[in-house]
Formats: sequence, structure tokens, C-alpha cells
Amino acid sequence: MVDYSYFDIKIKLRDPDAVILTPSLFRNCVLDTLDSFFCEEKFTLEIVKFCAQQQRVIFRVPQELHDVTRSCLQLIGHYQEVPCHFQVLETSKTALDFEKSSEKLYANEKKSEDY
Amino acid sequence: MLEDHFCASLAALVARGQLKTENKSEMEQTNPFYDFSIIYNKDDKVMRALLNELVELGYKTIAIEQSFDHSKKEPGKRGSEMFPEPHKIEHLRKEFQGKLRILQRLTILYVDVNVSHAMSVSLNLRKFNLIAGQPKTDAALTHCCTTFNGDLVTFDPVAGSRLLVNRKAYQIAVRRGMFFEIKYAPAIADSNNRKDMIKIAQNYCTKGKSKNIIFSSGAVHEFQLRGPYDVANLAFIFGLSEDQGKNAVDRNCRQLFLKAESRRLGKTIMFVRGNGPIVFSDSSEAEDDHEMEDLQTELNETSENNQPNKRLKVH
Repeated sequence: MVDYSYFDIKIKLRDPDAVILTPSLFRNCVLDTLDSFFCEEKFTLEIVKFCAQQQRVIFRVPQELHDVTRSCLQLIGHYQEVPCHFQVLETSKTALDFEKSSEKLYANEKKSEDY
Repeated sequence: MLEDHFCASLAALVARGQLKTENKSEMEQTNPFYDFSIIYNKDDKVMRALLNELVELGYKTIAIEQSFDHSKKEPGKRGSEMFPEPHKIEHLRKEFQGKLRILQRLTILYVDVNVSHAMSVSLNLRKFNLIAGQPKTDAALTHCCTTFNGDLVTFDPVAGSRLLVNRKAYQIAVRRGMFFEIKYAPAIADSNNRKDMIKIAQNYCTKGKSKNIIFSSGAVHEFQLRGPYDVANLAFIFGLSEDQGKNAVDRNCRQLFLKAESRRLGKTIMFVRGNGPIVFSDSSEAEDDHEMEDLQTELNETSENNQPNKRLKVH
């Protein structure tokens, strides 16, 4: 059985109206970067959840690719030639969900404010 | 030399939290995380967007960078005040008070050693919190590591990886408390820059075990900024260890700031009080000392060899 690493991503775009945001295009964008970095074409990346309105994605990769994927995500600067930032909100070895992540983030923010 | 070493040790202890100053308000307070290279933009809208994004990502201390090309100055003007005044950013400081500590940094691009004289007579330089040197030639790079009176060595990511530091110069720079900067925003903007930056970072790794490295953004707009934990994670690509990666956005930046403050203020009396067990040396420092001893003997040997009328010793 393969162990997976889950990524919760917030897509920040300079001009969201100028791009087409679909799961497959997002997947291709990440895979192309991974390919350009490590010259391997057999990366497995599965989109678990995708919300174009919220500009949020949850995807998973095999656990051994966790570090590689995380580093690559940081160096992606353009999505369809529009400046972008794929902000990693959370990573986990267990399945992630938009609502759970949001609750967690809210709790963390509140904690840091109290602190 | 001993005094320098004591000051550096003291600064390191204060940075680690093992020593506290008698009066906290007297000590320059900064909070992690740090980004010491935000490129200045005349447009306040762009600056505000950048600063808001920095706050959102969790940075607390940042430096706004302005560049000055010393080599483009007319020769006649050398000797007098030639460095620019810092840009006026008081309104931004007020606006982000409590959220961000905004410092100012000058990056001096230069080719020859004349810059040292100009720096020694300059009053404007004191108005900047950080001074970085960006050498354009190999000779300037060696000068930057060995005698440059600044805090930071940086490089031009667009010019490529022509300049690679050698081992001796790197170790002298570390000994002097200089830090080496790796900017990540150019790597985001262009894949060619990325290759060069990896090459330069790997050179730091092979020549000096990536000691005294700091990561900063060099961001022009807010989409080139990344969170501090993500930046620390770039250590994976730049050949640093996990700890070195974390230190590159936190502890090293604090030490750099303290070093810069001590350069600006000159000799200062500090009252310190112990706050728990104090360890004056650890294995890594001992290792460093060995390396420095080796380097010292190496240097002594070369200087002995260079003596013109060296007497032969008969054993």
C-alpha cells in the first residue's frame, strides 16, 4: 500500500480573471515544474478536491515525493503567464478537507492572537 | 581580536536567549521571521501590497533595500559624500507599527577597493541599518570577504554565476562575522536564474559548509514572496541542512542585525545578567576553531614564504 502526503493549497493570482483554473491545468502546471527540476516524468499527483471559486486545491503525492513537491511549489511563479503564489496552507499524512483545514487555521490564528 | 570574539559570543548568547540585558528597552528588539531584502518601489501602492503580504505570511522584521552602483560614479566626486540618503519611509513605518519592524538597507555594487575610503568618510551610511556589498569582479569579491566594512555579501542573480567565492575568502568572511545572502525571488521569476542560484548556493556548501547564510526574498511584487517555513524548506534545493535552513530565516538574521548595530554604534557598554546555564562553547564551535587555526597556520606559512630574505634554519 502506498503512503500519501496531502497538500492543501491556496492559489493566489494577480489577475484571476485572466486565467482558466481547472484541476487538470493546475496538475499540469505542478507536474511541468517537477519535471523541469528533476527530469523525471513519472510523478504521480492526484487532485483530491478542487474549488475554483475559493481558489483552493487539495492534492496528494506519494510520501517519498513530499519534500521535492513542497520545494517545487515554492518556486512556481507563474500560472498561465500570470504571476501567482501557491501558498501551502497545510500538509498532512492523512486526508485533508477544506472545512477541517479552515477550522484548524482559524483556531491557530486565534491562538496566536491570544498569545 | 579577543574583544571582537567576546562581542560576537555575547551577541550570540543574547540571540539564543541565554543572556538578557539589564534593561530590555535599551536592547534593540527584533522578532522572527526576517526578510532583509524587499526592493524599494516609489509607488506606495506596491510597497503597501508587499508589506501587507509580509505581515500575512508571518514576517516581523524586514529591510527595504536600495542599491547604489559605486563603479558608475565620476572619479572627481570620490572622497566626498557619494552615498545616497535613505528613502523616506516614515509613513510606512507608522502605518505598520506593531506589525512589522522596517529597517533600511543599502547594497553597494562595486569593482575596486576605493569603495572602502568612500565608506569610511560617509555619514549617510550610518543612516542605514544594514550595508551589503555586491562585488562585480573576483578581486572585489575577495575584498568584500576580507576587508569590506559591511555586514553582508550578496550577488547579482541576473549576471549569472561568474563569481564563485574561494574557500579561504569564505572562511575569513565567516570569521569576520559577515553573512552571505541567497535571494529566492529571482529563482521564482526565471528558470535560468534558478540554475545559477543553485550553483552559487552549492558553491557556498562545498567551500564553507554553508555557514553564515541568510535567505531573503529580493521580491519586487507580493507574488514573489513566500512564507518563512517554505523559505526554510528551500534549504533542500540549496544544499543546506534542515537546521541551517531554519537559521537562515531566523537566528542568522538576528545575529546579522546585532552585528550591523554594533558597526553603526561603535564600541558600546552592555550590562548583561545570566538567565540560566551558559555554555560558552559547543562541538561545532570547537570544530570551527580547529578550522580557523588551520587557516591561520596556512596564512602564516604563505606569508613566511613571501618574505624576500628568509633565513635558512639549520636543525
